[in-house]
Amino acid sequence: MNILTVAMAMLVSATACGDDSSIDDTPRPADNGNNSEIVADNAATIYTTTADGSMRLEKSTSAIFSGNNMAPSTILLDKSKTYQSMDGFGFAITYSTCYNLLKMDAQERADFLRQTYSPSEGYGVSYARISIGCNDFSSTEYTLCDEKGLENFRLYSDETDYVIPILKEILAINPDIKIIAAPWTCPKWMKVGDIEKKTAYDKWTGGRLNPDYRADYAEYFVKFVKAMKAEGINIYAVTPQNEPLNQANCASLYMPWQEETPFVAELAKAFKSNNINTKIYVFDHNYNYDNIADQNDYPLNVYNALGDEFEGSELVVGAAYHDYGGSNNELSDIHSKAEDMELIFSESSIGTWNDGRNLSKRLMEDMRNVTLGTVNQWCKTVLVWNLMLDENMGPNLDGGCQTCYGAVDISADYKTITKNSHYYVISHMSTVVRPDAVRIGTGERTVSKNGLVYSVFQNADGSFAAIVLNSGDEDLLLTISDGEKHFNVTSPAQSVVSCNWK
Amino acid sequence: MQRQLFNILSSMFLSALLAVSCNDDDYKNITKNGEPTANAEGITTAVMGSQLSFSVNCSDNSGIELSTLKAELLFSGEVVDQTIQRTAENGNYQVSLNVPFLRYIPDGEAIVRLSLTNVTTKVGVNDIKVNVERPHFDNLQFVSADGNKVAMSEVSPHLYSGKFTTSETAFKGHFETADGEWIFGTDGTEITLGGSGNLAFQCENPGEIVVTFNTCTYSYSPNDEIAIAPLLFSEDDNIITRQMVKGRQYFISGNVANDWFVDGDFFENDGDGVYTFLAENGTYTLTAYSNYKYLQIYPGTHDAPSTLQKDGTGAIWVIGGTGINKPSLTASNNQDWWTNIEYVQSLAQIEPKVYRITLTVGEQLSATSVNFKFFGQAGWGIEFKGLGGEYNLSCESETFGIGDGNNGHDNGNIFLKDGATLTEGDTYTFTIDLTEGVDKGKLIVKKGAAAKNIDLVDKEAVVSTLKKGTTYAFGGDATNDMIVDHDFFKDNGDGTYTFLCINGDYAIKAYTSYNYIQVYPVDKEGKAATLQKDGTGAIWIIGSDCINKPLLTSSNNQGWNTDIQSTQCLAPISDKIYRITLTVGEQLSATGVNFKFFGQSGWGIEFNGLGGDYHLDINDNDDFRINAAESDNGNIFLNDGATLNEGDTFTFTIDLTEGVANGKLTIEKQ
Repeated sequence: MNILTVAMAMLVSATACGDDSSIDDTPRPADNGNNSEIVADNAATIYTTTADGSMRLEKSTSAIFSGNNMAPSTILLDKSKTYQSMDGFGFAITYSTCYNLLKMDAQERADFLRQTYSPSEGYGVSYARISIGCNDFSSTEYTLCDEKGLENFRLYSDETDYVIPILKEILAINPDIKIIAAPWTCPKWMKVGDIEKKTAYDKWTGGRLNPDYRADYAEYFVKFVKAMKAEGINIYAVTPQNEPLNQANCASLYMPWQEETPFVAELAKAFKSNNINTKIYVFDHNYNYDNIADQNDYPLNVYNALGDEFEGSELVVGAAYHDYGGSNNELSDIHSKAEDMELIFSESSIGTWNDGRNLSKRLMEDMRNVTLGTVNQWCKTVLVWNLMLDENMGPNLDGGCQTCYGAVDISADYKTITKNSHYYVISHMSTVVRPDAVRIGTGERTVSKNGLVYSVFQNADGSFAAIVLNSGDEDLLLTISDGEKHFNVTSPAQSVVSCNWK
Repeated sequence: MQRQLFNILSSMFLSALLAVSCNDDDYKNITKNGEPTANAEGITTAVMGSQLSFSVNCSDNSGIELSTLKAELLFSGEVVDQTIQRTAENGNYQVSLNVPFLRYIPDGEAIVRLSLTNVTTKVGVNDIKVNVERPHFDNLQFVSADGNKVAMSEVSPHLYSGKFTTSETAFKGHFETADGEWIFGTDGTEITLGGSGNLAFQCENPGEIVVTFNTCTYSYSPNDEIAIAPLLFSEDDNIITRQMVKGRQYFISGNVANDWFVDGDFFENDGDGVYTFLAENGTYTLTAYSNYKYLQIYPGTHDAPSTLQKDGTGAIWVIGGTGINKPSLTASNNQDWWTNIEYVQSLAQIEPKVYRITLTVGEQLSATSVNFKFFGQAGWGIEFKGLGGEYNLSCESETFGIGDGNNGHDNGNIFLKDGATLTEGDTYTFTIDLTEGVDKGKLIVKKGAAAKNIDLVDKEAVVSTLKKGTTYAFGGDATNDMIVDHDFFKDNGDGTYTFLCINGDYAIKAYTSYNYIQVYPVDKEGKAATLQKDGTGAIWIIGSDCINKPLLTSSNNQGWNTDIQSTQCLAPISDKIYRITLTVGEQLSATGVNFKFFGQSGWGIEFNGLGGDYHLDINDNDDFRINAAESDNGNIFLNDGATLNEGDTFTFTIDLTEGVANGKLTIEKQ
């Protein structure tokens, strides 16, 4: 090497634009200024998603410290304040979702499902919703007993060829997943146009359950639960009717509380007499009861009308809500009036109407309203609509939702998955909040900042979880403390951060 | 040659540096060199709330010039103070950091981080552990609002206690060291170090009480749970910010007297200074304006009044011309479209996302000059439009309209519709419902105050707790053509009635056969009240068929009958004062007047005109007399020669405030 070469090397070195070393690459002390004792072999696991998409469930760790926590910006957990225990978080597994998943390469599908449902290798999604018969995202309108007479009950190809195979794949990954099921319509031969005159009603949309067939329809549920059980699929809960006040949709059944009440009594009795312990959640519709005056506080009317001295009363555990009308404040209102009854959130969708593929908008709103906003108002479960739709929002049925997006979109070649806000908001909860976790409170010391919303939990294994939404415009350095240990976490502006630690 | 080569190399290197200086991106490529080192000695302890000043020795033994010294103070990894200064040369630099005194923060080991950067951007970091402690005070005092000072001693770490004597269940004060260096009070929202506002204390048992304050948690006592929470105002201390609870009772005292206007959209007057809070739970600020006797209430704090949120929660405010104002149109805060908090009106959020303001024509609302607008804050910014906009209102009122910019009224401004007239004394409620979204707001205007409904059953006494000034409507077997006892209720003309008597339990009884709603007070057992020896209870009239409500011609007019439907109960209009109003030809005969006041709706206690334990004296009256003789003692008769004219109305008021044996009967012709 001659001296000119050295000189050129110096010149190149001094001016190279490709040098990506940081301005300040000086190593920081191991404790980053947190001068409490580091708890050996323990670190908090942190997942971060930012609204700008630069971080998407990005995993990191933060050292855990013991000793005095002096940080002013602290979220202090208070185990003495306990709220509801959690059942889980998840997506609807519709025919359309399964159709798309089955179009994928088997290994790629397995990878996606493992990432989504595995508690150890993925985000631990813990709950699923399916329909009893058709829904907006089925291959066609059908029930499980289209021909009159319950002896004609059978599972349809949507179940046998699509939903059940996918559920089996999911259960192989996460055997503890809970499943809730709801019908969009009863068989048409059970429908009437008017419950007084009992005029026949031969349409998928609208109509009412003929009171004479309440017992048969309850038996239809029993047959469904047993048929799924025979496939190795346990139905954890049902609702008597999806959106009972919705008289539109591709398939529906109008079931005001006055009519759901006697059916729930029949259903509970039928489950009880068949030794089925599937839970029953009433209502399953919007916060505003579709502005029908005499349907206000629908679940309370059902509870009051039922009383508690009927067969199988222990199976009627609470109410389910959707968010297509009204405010989630209704959850607190209903809880305050029926504190012993459970609440779950069973459906929300993104779509063209709410800029559903715009993560920068939806992540903040959906985290605030769909997950934290429901969990902080007593919901044990949060479910959103389709797990996967194709890039054209399908496949879907005429009359059903043709403007809905899935939690993830799959490309036309069934290769590329694009995750939307609903995938992130569910995963941010499920990945740190395990089934049977208990929501707990926070201490007075907890920092209060505009745009900061959070939920904190203690899992059954004693570990803690915190999910923090920062919809403000500034990054925040927070300290999260369980009262004994604490750690630092950066909550970027417009982000969601989930933390899990022991 | 070597020298020449060195020159070439030097010039090339300089060229490189020059290139760096010309391009922002290239400064990253400066080669970090040297060993910048910052050291400080003797900073092992610090006290919260003080300055930590020390000297930092900065050097770079490689001879490279220094650039900047950054000193940071970290509490558990969080920077709580920092300073940056230029450091060109090796040497000692003086640094001063604020050690914050913050609520809840425990004593502990903080870090002073010294980051010294040289001109090559090489950074040397030195973390120094510092024990930080909260100070202990030997001269802390409780200073009451009226200036009394009580010494406090530290009874456990950071918990101070002192004895204070008070005769009130509610009092105010703050904590302050004797040298005035440390003051703990409210900043209008919360207790802070340096807050100059007085804190509110409550004690169940006044006398010598213990006052405590914790300088770490800022908790203080006494804050006894008092069933009726006191709100104490004074001329100098006229603003209270408090967490208010819907349905909870508050005792408003101090300089806010009975004749003040206490915003009825937020508070229902329960009498005797007690009010029930009507709005949704939350932080509210109450301001007592003594110059025009107005207790204003609005959500939020004085510094940060609540604003409307996109989900419909928060607050709605009215800003308008001089045709709208609380407490009254004539108050000095009625200013044309002014936006300061004193001049705007906050609606009460009566249900989540449902807001209400109540205005009486001639008092808070002009009969002729209606022009105001609903806003999302107590100033300009978010405003509700009648047409378009992110915040929108629709209204189906036949009396009031919303301007849309095309109908002759500014977009969003509320106006009186052509042909509509307002009558002095009529009350209107303006309710904004945002439950369907801020872009689908509904403005519902109703004549009459918001009424509480009471369902009545024919001939059955329905017992209700009634509150003076509260508006009621009657349902069930009640019909619109029924006459409601006008001494107990003012007929608002819109199917609602405002209660006129003292708060208490009353029986309300509908009689469908003669279209009457009778009202009378009841005792704790729900039975018709009787007169007590202290003058409380009830006074009843039993008489000939010369007197009867609702009308002389009604079928319940049974001379000297003591059944409750045939007797007349006087309205207890204030403590121990009772009144009945009778119109000649309707409830009172023009001739043959003969009735008597009793202590029950039957025989027993009766008021005499001559002697007796229950005695009435009558004012000088041309028309009536109370018989002061052994016979018919106490009966009310017409004076000899007196004549009554059909349509004349007389009020009979009995005042027992000086005892039942010294009752005064005042009869006035209206």
